[in-house]
Amino acid sequence: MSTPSSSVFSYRVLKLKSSDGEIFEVKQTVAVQSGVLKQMMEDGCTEGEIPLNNVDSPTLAKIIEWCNKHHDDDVEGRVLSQEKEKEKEKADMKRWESEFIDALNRDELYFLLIGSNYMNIKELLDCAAQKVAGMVKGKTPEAIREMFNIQSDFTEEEEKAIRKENQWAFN
Amino acid sequence: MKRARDRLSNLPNPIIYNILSLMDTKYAVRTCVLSKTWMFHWRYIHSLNFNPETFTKVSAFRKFVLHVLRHRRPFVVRRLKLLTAYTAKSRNPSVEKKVLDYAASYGGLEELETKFDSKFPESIVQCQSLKTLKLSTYSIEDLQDSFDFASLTTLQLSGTSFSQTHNNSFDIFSTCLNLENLILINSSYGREIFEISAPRLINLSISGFRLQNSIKTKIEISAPSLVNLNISNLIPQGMNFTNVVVISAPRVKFFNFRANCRQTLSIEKCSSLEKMNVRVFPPVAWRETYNWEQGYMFDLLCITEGFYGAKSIDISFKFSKGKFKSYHVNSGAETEVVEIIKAHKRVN
Repeated sequence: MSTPSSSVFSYRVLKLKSSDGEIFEVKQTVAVQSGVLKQMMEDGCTEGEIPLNNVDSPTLAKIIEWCNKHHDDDVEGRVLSQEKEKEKEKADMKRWESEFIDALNRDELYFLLIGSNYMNIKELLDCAAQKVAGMVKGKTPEAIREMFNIQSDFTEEEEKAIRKENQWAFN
Repeated sequence: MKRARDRLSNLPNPIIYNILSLMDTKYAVRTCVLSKTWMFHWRYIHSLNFNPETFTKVSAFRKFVLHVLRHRRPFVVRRLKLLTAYTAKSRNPSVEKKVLDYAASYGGLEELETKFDSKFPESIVQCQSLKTLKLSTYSIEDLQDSFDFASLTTLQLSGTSFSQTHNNSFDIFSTCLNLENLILINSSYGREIFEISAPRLINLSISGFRLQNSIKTKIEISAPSLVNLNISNLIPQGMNFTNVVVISAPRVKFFNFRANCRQTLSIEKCSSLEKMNVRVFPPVAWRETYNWEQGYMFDLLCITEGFYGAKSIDISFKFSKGKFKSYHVNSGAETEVVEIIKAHKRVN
C-alpha cells in the first residue's frame, strides 16, 4: 500500500478508526478543526490508528466531508481576496452548510450531533444544533413529540401541573 | 425500526441545553411538557432570547420573563437578546433593568442585543466580559460619560441619535480599546465633528447617517488597523450642504463609498488601498436643480487624487436627466489612468 511518496508525507495524515472498524485518512491540516484531534497532535500521540468509539463510519464520513469543505474554503489563508468575493464565498458556504444539514435524516442528524460533540468540532455542532432548534421552535408540544418520537410519561394531572407552573410560556 | 427511537431525548444534556439556548426562550420553556426528562432542561439554557412579539399581551411577556429569571439555574448567561415593546406605554424599564442586571450578575456575559432605551444599568457598563453589543434606538446621551466597554470587539448601533451630546465634537469609540467591528445603522448626528478613532478597528460600516447640523459636518475616521471601510448614505439637511469625511487609515484595503449628495472626501495615509468603489446617487428631486455634473466631477477628482496607491477604483454616478455614467479608473504602478465612459439612456 505505502508508496515512497505516501510514506514521506504520512506524518501529515491521521488514521481515524470509526466505531465499526473502518479506517479514514485525514490530513492533519483538516483534522485540526476537531478540538480533540488538535489536542492529540499537540501532545504528539497521533501515531497509528486513532479509535473514535463514539462515531460510526457513515457519521465519520459526513464529519470529514464537512471538515474538508471548511478547510478548502478557509478564507484566512487568502486575506488578499477581495471583499466582494469574500462575501460571495461566505454566502456560498452558508448555502453549502444548510444543504449539507438539510439532507440528513433524523438519525443521521442525531449521530452527527453526538460525533461532532465527541470530536469537539464547534462549528459543525453549532450548525447541527441550530437545525434542531429550528425544528423545535414554534411547534406545539404535541407536534414536537410526534416529530421526534418522544413518549410522554406524564399522567394527565402531572402534565396539567407542569403546564400551570410554566403557564406564561403557553400564552 | 430505527426511526421510532426518541433520538432527541437521548442526546447528552449539554447538547440539549445548547439547542434550547439557540431558540426564543419561550419555546425552550415549552419543552417542559414533552416528558419527565424534559421538565427541567430549559432551566439550564446558557443564553436568553426574550421577544415580546410572540406574546399577545405585554403583561404576559413580563410575567414570562420574571418566571424565567426566577426558575433558571443561577449560572452564567452567555448571550442575551432582549427585545422590548415598541410603544412607550407598554414599556417597562424596571423589568428590562432586572433582566440586564440578572444577565450581568453571574459574569461571563459575552453578547448583548437589546432595544434598551433609557440609562444603561451600571451592571452592564461594568461587565468586562462583554464582546458583542448590538443596541438599537438608543439615545447616547446618558451613555456618553460611562461608555467604557474596553472588552468589546463588536459594536452595532442602530437608530442611535448622537445629537444630544453636550460637546461640539463626539468621540466615544476611543474608549473601546479592543473594538474590531463597528457598525452604525440609521444614526443621526447634529454637531460639527463626529470622530471615530479606535486603535484596533478592522471593519467599519456606516449606513444611513443623518447629519442634522445646520452647517457642514465633518466626520473624522482615524483607525490605524482598519481594513474594510463601508460608508453609504450620509444624509445632509439639504442639497447645498457639503460634508467632509476625513479618513486616516494606513491599512485600509477595501473602501466602498456610496453618497447621495456632494461629499468632500479627504484621504490621508491610505497607502494600502487596493479597491475602491464610489457611487454617487443624488435624490431624483435634486438632480434637475443643481449643476451636479460639474460639482461631482470636481469632487470626484478630489476623491481620486487621494488614492494614488489604489490598484483599482470604480466610480459610478447618476445625475441630471436620468443619465447613468460609469467610470472605471485603474491606476497601476506607472500611475497610468485608464478611463472607460459608458452612457446609456434610462427608460423613464
